[in-house]
Amino acid sequence: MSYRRRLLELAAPLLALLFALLVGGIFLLAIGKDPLQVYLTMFRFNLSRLDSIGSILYKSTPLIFSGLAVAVGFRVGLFNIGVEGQYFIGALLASIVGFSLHGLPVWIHLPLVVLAGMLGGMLWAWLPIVLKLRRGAHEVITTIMMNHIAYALVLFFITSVFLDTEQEMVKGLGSPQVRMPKLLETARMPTMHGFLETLGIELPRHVYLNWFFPLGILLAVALFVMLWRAAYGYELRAVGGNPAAAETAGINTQRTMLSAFLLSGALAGLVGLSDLLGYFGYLDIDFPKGYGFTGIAVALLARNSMLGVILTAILFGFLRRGAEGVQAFEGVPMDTIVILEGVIILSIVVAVQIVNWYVRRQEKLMKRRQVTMERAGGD
Amino acid sequence: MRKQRRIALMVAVLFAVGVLLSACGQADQAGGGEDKLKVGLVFDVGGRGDLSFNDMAYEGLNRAAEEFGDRIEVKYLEPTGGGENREELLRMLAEEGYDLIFGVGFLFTEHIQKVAAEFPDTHFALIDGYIADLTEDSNVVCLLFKEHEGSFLVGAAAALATETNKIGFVGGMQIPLIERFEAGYHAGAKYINPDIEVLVDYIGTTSEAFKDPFKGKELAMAQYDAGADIVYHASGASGTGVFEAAVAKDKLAIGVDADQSLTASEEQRPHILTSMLKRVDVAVYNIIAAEVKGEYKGGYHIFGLADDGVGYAVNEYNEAMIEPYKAKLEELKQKIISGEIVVPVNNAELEQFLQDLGS
Amino acid sequence: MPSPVIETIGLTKAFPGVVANDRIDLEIRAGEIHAIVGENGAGKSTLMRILCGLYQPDLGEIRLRGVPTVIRDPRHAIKLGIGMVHQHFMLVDRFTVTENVILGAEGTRWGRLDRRAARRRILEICDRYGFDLDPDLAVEELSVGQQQRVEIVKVLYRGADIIIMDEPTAVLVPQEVQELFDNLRRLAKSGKTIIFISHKLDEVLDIADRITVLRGGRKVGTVKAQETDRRGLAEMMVGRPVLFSVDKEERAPGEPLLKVEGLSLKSGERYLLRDVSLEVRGGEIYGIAGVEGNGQTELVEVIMGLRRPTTGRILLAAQDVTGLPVGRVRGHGVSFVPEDRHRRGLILNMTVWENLFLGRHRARRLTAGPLLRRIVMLGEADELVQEYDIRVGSTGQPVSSLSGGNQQKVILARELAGQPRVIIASQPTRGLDVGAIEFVRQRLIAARAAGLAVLIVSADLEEVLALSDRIGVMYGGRLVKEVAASETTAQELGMYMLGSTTGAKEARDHVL
Repeated sequence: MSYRRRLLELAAPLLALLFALLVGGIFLLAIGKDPLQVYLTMFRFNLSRLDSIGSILYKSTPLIFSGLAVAVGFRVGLFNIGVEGQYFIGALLASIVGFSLHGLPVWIHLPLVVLAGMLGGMLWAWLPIVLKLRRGAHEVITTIMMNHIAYALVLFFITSVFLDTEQEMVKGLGSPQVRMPKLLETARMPTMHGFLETLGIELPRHVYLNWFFPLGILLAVALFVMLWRAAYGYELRAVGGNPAAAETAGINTQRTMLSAFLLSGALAGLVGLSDLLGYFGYLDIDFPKGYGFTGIAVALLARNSMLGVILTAILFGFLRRGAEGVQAFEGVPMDTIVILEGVIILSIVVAVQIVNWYVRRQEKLMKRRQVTMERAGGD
Repeated sequence: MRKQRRIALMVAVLFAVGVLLSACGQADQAGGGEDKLKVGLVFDVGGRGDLSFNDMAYEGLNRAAEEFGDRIEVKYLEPTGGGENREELLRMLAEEGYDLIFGVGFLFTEHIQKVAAEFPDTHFALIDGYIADLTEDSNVVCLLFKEHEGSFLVGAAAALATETNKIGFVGGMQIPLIERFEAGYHAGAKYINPDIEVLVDYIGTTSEAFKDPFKGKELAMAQYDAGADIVYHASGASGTGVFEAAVAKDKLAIGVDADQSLTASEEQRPHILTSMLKRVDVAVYNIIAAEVKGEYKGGYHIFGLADDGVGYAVNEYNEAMIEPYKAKLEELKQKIISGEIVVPVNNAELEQFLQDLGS
Repeated sequence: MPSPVIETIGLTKAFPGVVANDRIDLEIRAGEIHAIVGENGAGKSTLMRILCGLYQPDLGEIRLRGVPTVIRDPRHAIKLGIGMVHQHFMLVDRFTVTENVILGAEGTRWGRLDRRAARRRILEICDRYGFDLDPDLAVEELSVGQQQRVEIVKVLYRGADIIIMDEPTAVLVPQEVQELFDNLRRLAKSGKTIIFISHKLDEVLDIADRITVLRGGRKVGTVKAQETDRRGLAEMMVGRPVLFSVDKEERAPGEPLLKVEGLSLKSGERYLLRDVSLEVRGGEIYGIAGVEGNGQTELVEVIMGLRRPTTGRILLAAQDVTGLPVGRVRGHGVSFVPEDRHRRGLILNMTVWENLFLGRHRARRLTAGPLLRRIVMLGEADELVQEYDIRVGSTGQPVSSLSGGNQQKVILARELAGQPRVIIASQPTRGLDVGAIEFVRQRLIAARAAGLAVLIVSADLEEVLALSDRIGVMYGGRLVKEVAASETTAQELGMYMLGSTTGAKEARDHVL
């Protein structure tokens, strides 16, 4: 009986995607583009080039961490909208550790930088969760506030504290980059080219796919095991499913929420590191924003499944890489692409809700049938 | 059963769409232009529609497109997020065989450097950014502007026109680039009148500061209330707020980058004393023109007062207002070109400049 | 003989996979009180929903006063003279009785609310049927019984002459039940037809003229109340003979295992618990009776460590556990069946087996380092499912897919499997059907026989009386009376539950 439910659950994101493409298509028609042509270009551009595939995985890397962070929060019943701010603070700390500690070998420095990132994320998650547990302040409100503070703080540190003034400039001409000093080589995350070459894959040099991607997958698997096999994960899900019942059963819900939210923050701290350590090599005012919010959509679409997050993050990477292709080759303007991405996320959310509702209804009907069968058995 | 049928239907639809997509895939796109010169441009954040910096670049691109007609083909792109995809957009244009590619804004500095290295046969132009050690043979040219010189002139104009001896400056994002506008403006005003007071405010520390007209209006209002009667803005699209404030308070404002009298609304025009011109359009056009003629050169292209790369705007709307000060401004312009006046480029130099004035 | 006012012929309603109503022929006569009984899931509520227009039947027809009728929706039903009084009241607390009654049926005069005319009509209605109700009081000031009267007046005000009452006594104390029955009888006498849905057999036998029994969506039969009894009805409902009396063997109670001393709990300035002391011995069932909201919930929550008492001590086998967190209290051998199994008892989106180990999952035999030993757990879960007769396809199903009775069995199995010395059970049989009630009660009796101290809290006086050795009555946060179960009656307990300490004795004498 339950295979059908499983099937439906699996079908949900697919149907959602289809629905989203449909809505997006209507939108494209409205601005006078041929949706089939646009989608086709997107698929071709994305799937026929090795650098596109690398870029999709690269783009999905921060979203894996972000999706995991949000999903862990959801699992314990907390809505971590603060991933955004947490990864900014994570990137800030990582950057400081990355440019300031000289003379360390890479196998010490790099892990330190990564830990600093996680610590930053945890730090920024710590206040909202303590406020929630102690004072009952809703984490949605506080984390949103913390996001704003994080943006401002990071920019303050970039422009006023650690601004790299050593940049070579001609006096009074052009503009220096507004950024912190560059990270030391020992703090950089190596790309995967060497490894892929041993597998016979010649990834173009300009693709920045780095070891954070496999790290993300590894973490997702580890979290999956923790959630479904470990006593702690069991408690986490119990608290998320019904904190009152978990508490009644003797689980320390406060401690579970605290630790799970800090875990979420630590994961969030990793979000920006693929860009920071694997690509830019410096933290500037133009550091990518919005991964935290996209992570919410990623987690939602994955129905908070740790392994599902990998797939949905790649899907978002696919959309983003595709957007570049579509802008370049189909002349779809950037504003439209931004709107389209919004429409797609929204349709996905709506469609997932609809499918979930449908699944729940099926469940209810099945339950009713089961009750009748039981009764029949009693006769 | 009904449900099974429904699932089957869904699967069928999915399948059908898949087939449709792949079927359409057979029709290939028509091949592009033959030996046209291809020019690509990637905008800065804020993008088109800011009525100043980005729109100026667009203007230059357009002018070239009109002028050279079917000899060139142009395309422009806008980054979707932060810095994460500027580089990919540049590279995509390069891969597509574009001959000349612009990165509008200093945020492209690092990215253009990387892509230029990968495509040695493609020409690049970077606006406002500085890349060290370029030569004429490089495939990158940096287009740099002496905004402080232009700002010096409009500062002088403001000092000549003010009745309250108080003028204001509203900057966008507080970065060295914008501080240079401030330093020049300040110096120009003090040069005319050492006792003049200059009020300075910045909208913010993020790139949002260039698209926040509400904050722009708020700050300008406050400066007018504090007694300033002329406010110069260097804040991109936020500047429309400054103009609104000028209308509301019946005071004057000074535009930036483009000749903003031309794009302002009917009721704002009488309130725009002049604009500090930063001829990004000229720069873009010139580089394209050079490319068309086969005269592209790498290195640095510096636009100052001498070659009308910066300046102050005179147009049919402000002619009457600016006329009385024109002679003085022209005189100052000559002094700067000749090197008699050295305009400060940052706050430290401004200090020195003001000290020298005093002595 | 009066003609039928409502007749259903072959009424059938199916949901995918379930035939909720299967060819039901029903005949309800004008002016009678007709009870419809059946276990949960027997099809009572589907039938009622059809009659008040919430569902449309798939097959069959409804004849209203002899005329085939389609009842389109609840509004239409009330137009046809059919009114429904729901189990959960739909009243606005802040509004007066009058305002509540006219809400949604506002009589307007040129667009203005004619409150005065409405008030007059309400008084008329109260007068005619002997309802004691002040139309100007706010609903929040009324007792539960009075609120129910408001609901009935609401229906009458809209001109109903057929009134459907859905489990109306579930929320009432015995005295209120009697008043309700008096009202209903008077309504029937003046020609109103009452359809009374319940699964409490004693009440049904008391109030109804005729009784229709449903089972598994089918009608089992209709009988006259005078011609049947509890046992007969129960057998019709369940389909087999049912044991009612819980046979408790006599037992000398052992050591006091749970002791509560001078427990108080303050919320702001208000006492939720005031100086409660009691003691439960091994091999004893202590029942706590009381109208809901008089401190029972707080009492068990404080004992379990879910709340910290303001003053007082809690001793488990002479060890002070006051103020310890739940986990530690449980560690002293206390098990707990919470009153609201969905809120506190189960994690609905988790599986049956996961719920069977909630709180016990860190036991050494169940873990290997940080990981759980699933195979051991699944095996034990299967054993528990067998032992407690939990009807479930697989323990991997979410617990939400189980029926209420089976969900309660999951909790019971979990709590008893931990080999506790003390078990606290709040409303252990609430909402369960006859078969499940029987099962749960037997388990509690078995726990007593095994020497456990059992504390039960129940709103069902009959249950408290049947199970307990001793009974404490709570009123206003105090334990106002403690009696041996063998020496009291429902009537007496009812008086204490209403806070009357002086009147209780008289009532008891009177009844005896």
